[in-house]
Amino acid sequence: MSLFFRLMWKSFFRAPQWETKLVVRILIGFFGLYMFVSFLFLGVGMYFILEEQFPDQSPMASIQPWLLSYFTTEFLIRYFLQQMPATQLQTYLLMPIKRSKIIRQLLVRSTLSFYNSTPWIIGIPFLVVLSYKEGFQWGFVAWWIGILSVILSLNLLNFMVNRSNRHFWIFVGVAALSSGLSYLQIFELDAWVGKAFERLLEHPWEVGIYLLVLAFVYQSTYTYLRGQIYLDKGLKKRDYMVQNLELPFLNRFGKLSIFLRNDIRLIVRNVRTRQVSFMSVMFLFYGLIFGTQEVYLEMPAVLVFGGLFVSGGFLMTFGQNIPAWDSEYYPLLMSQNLSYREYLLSKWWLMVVVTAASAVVAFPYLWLSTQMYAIILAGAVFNMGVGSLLNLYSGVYNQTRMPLNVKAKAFENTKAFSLVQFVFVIPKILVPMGLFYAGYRLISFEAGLAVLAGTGILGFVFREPLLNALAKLFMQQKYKALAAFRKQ
Amino acid sequence: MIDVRELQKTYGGNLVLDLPELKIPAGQSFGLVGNNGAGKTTFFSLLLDLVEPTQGEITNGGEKIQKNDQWKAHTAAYIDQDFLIGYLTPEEYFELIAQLRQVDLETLQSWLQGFESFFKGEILGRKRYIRDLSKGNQKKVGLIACLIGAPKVVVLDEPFANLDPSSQIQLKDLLKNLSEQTQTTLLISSHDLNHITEVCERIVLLDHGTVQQDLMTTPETLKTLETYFTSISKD
Repeated sequence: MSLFFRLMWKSFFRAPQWETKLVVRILIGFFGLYMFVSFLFLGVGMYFILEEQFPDQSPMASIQPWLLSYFTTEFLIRYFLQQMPATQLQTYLLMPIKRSKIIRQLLVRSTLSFYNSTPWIIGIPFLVVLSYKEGFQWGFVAWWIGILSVILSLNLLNFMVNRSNRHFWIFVGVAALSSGLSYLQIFELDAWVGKAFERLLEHPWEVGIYLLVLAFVYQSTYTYLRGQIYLDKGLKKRDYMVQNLELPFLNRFGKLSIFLRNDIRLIVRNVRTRQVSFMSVMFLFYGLIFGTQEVYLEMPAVLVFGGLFVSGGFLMTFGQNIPAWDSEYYPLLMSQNLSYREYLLSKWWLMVVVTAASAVVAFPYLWLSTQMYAIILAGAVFNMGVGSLLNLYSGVYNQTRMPLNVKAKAFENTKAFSLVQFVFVIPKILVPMGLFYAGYRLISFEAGLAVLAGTGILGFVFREPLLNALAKLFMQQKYKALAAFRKQ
Repeated sequence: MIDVRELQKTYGGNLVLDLPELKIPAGQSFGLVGNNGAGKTTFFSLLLDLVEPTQGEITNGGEKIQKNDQWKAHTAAYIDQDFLIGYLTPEEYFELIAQLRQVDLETLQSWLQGFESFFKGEILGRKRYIRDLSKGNQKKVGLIACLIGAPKVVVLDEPFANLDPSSQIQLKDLLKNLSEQTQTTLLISSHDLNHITEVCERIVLLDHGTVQQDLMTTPETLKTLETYFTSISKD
């Protein structure tokens, strides 16, 4: 065991993110701390939030029906983002270590993941507050162990589900079906799950069932992996079915279609880019945090902050890594007879189209408040006109090789993070907020929207000269980018 | 075709390539040999303008390569895997290159059929991404893509490495035909002295970034090269 932990230690401290500059390291540290503290506050505050939102129920009772949705969401995030540590197994196979030990070590190590931390940093503070307010009960402990067992079981199940897309679609199908039935009040699975957990409060000994389930899942995952740990089985590079993406409708874009087609293939066929697409879908919901709070509705400038992310999730996550997305074959692109302007224009179209689509898809915000949706639309115009070009500009300075078909580790995306990127938050977010606020404060809400959208339209008007200037800048940075993108 | 003048490249104060003069006439098949670190790949990268020279310049087809991009229209290269796009199928990759070089897709399809025996049925129509192909098949894809659109200058770094014996022999014939029949200027590097002396009319031997020998290939060339490499391995 100690050997594995020594190796883990080394791989952690010799990871590329430690080789980045001290300032960046401190910023990443602060970000981690910020996440930790926010979760902690959420844990402590949850009792009071629940008390306020569901005044006719006790907080503990009101949380139960939400558990299933929580588990489902968490599993989705896990599926897309959690990196399975299985990749390092091959090295150990020839060493005098028992296979069973290698697997057990792998499973234990996976439980230490960041993605299993919520019961600890949200759950425990919540229960402490609960015990303080309502008096301690052994049922609380049983309830917590029950939740931890489910989360750890999901963590283990991910080993199997992650290996095939079919498992994933079965999961999505079941989740969709059960939420549909629950919505129509035919069969409310979430209520049943809630009841099962509620029983734990009265009958703490029933937690034994949860532990048995966990033990069973552990054993089956173990058996599954034990059969897979051969070069021609689980460790084999998987061949994926090729997705046919001819996309003939792109032909109307003429020469541009060459790049557009390739960019769409890039996004659909690589793990890392799919992760980004998943994140951009999540950003669609980001506005809910602001739109649902009375406090923020009084402060429309803050709503602009949320609104920019609703339409711009893809723009910001994909855009800031141009041209790093093409880093694996940058020398090829640089030795072909292609125009940099067309290359950039294709990326520009991609960002603009997805941003427009996000703004349209976000229409349910209308029910929340007309103001919020108006802000989202104005923000989308700003993102399309100005944000797209800004992201291309900031991407020039983002020179880190991006392995396409590998999942990012938690926080690994921050590796490509530089002080320059941080500075770019100002024009991407703070400036549009300021523009809106100026119009809003001096004239009216509508004027604020007009200023925001108008700035976006200026971006469209001056697209040609700005794009040409960007192409020139990309040319100047060519040798630096090529050197930085080289495989180490 | 290619004209190198006063070319120098230093990394962190170390001179890794020093070529006061090197002229490669159009249609020549030019071979580069040398141990690891001799400067072969550095030279090819400079030739493709992927690395900035510390000093000097290269012209390709009369144009200074750093001045404008016109040479890219008649030059093709395969240096390493960074010239492949892993998430495309071989067909899609060939089509992309063909589109960039203004070759229409029908011409491409019929042209590709000429390589059926080289591909051994493992490349076309297999519905696999390039990243899932074996190293040897990846190399074949890169090499053949290089020849799309009949470029006047073809640069290949280690074309024989990773290929199985019969593919090596096929590639040798293919390259020989290319330089004899189409007047293509061919620049290749190799660790295999046998192959390179068979394919190339001229061999340049690099060591620590400088030209040690510049030979027109004769039946004795292989012997000369072997003697040289034996002697430096004893030092």
